[in-house]
Amino acid sequence: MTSAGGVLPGETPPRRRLRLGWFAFLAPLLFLLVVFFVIPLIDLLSVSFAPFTGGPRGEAGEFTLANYAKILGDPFYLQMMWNSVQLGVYSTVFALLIGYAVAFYLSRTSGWERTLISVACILPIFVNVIVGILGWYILLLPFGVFQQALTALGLIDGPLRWLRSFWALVAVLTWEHLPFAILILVSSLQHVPADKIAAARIAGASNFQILRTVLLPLTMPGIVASAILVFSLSVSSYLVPILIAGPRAQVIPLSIFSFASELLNWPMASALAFLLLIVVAVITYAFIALTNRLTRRGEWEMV
Amino acid sequence: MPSTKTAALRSPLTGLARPDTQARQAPGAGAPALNEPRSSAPEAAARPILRMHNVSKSFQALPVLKDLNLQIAEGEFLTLLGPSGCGKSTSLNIVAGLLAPDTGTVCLRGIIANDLPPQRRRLGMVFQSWALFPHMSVADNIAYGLRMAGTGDKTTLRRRVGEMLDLVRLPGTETKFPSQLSGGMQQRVALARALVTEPDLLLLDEPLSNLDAALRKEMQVELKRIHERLGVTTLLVTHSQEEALVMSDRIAVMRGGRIERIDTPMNVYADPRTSFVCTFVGDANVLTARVEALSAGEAKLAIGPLSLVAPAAPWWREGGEAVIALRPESLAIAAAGSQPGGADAAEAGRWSAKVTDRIFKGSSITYELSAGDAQIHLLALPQPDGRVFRRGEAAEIVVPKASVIALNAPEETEAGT
Repeated sequence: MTSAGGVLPGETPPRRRLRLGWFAFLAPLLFLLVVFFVIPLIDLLSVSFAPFTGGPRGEAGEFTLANYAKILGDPFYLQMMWNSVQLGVYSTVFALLIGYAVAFYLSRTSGWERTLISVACILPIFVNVIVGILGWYILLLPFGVFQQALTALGLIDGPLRWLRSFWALVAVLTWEHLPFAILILVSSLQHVPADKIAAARIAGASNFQILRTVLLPLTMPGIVASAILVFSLSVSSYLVPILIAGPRAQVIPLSIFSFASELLNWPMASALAFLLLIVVAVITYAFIALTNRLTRRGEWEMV
Repeated sequence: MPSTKTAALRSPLTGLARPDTQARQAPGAGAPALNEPRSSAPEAAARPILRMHNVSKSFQALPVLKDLNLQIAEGEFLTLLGPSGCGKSTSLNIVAGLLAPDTGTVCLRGIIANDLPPQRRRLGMVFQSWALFPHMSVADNIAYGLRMAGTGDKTTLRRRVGEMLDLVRLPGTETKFPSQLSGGMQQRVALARALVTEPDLLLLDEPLSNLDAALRKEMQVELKRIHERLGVTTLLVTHSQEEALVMSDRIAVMRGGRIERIDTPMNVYADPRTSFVCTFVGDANVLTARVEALSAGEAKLAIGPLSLVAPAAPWWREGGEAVIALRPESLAIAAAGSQPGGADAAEAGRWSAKVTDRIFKGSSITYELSAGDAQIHLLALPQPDGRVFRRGEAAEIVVPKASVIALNAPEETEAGT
């Protein structure tokens, strides 16, 4: 062996410098994350354990579990939490179902059709979300377009109170977050090589079998990513519940806002916010763990 | 014929029933007997597994296949050989059902299969990229076809996977994932996956092109062995003449969407008929000569100042043009001014030439020579006396009579290669 092939002690410093170089690239991101996320989060946590004394931040320095006890001991808040989680789950399921179908079609088409669908998918992002929600508001009104059309066709016996309903919220949340799901799913569907699908087909698989055994497992990272995005955005949405269902909608974000800026009870707002964060984190983690186990992720690599 | 022998070998392995297809009887596919199950062994050899009749295909007004006709007999190993863009992959995809032909019919086992979806054609296919399912273990990859068809319980599946892994010589790799295997091993798994359903026809789409040279040679022999063992009818698509020559029963040389020559490897090599086939399959000096005289089955040819007396081809006319090919390995090089040996009559010509280049390849030496207006290259084995010609040296090219190949493609005249 010549010395050229071996690792000499003098060859290590460049590698260390390289690692520092990567740190330099990460530094701006870390700075932003610490200043605007970690520090506020720690502050939020500390405020959530403070007793409420009339001032917004509560009594500094004192420690109490009263806020958490109040939330967890009160069926009103538990129901509210359950409402929020359900909203998140349903809008995620619908966004994934619709998004996967659209993304599949989009990933297998080209030319003007592709452009048209892409623009149609992404356009809602450019429209101000309040404008979009108000559009839905008008459509869903008891004498709105939908109800009039369906009544004229004899399909429903209107006018009906759709506007404040749970499913109206699910529909608008799904609509609002669908573009994100589609964008993520298209890119992950495009990464499935066409010959893998052809191979499955020649081996005798039906379309449904191909979807179940090849497409879904291979696009699972994209499905998980878009599910997490849609779920956390839907659970934490404030504008959709307040504009569609009104200020008395029983969801956590509205309650947090109400405690923070109307009742000036920051400890309760912080405790609610922190509990919501924990619930979202636990559900997300459980979902990732489940899909990883199902697809045996980490054991294999793309070939 | 290899087909009768292999059909008999194959039957014990056949466990799958044919799917019921509502396909129609092909009107042009011959007698109704073609439709019978394969148990009637003696006629099996004559019965085509695949028949393509006047198949054409265009992509955006660009014709890729022009009235392609092709038949593959049961148990046969047929290769579609051609440069990229000749339509060979398109043909394969049409057979697989992944593309629909614009016109013409594709018959599988005498049944028109134009409208039959790929999953009901009873095919196996190995892709250029092997297209293994990365998220499934080797065993799951191989068992995929059986599982989709819903045939067999767990023990049967395990037994079949074991059999297939023994066949491709990868025993004990059941639980591995494709990414843990080398390229050659992935290829074997892809082959096992394609064969496990006992397909009527195995399609191989440049399966060896992603392997390094040594592995490619090994897999050629391996594929040939597996074909001989199972007798599965095989259609290979490749641009490598070596693969085609080594593995095939018959080679179809394709060019511009048509089959230019189809025959056994030896016949294609010995009698290529067109200069394209001649230079694509093997190497050749293609020369355009003038027919000076015809007599008693022999022709006197002139290639510029060089003359040649060779067996006459029927289409040669006195005063006309003749295109001939000389394989480099059938020519010999001799010292300038040397006398012909005893086999004078077997010599078609002897041209004085100048060595312009010499490429030493170990077991052989390629000489480039200029003779008259022509550039000729020839392959010489290292001589026992160690005689090697230097660049710029004068030498003689010995052209044996048997080496002159007559080509009949007057529109493709190229003086020398």
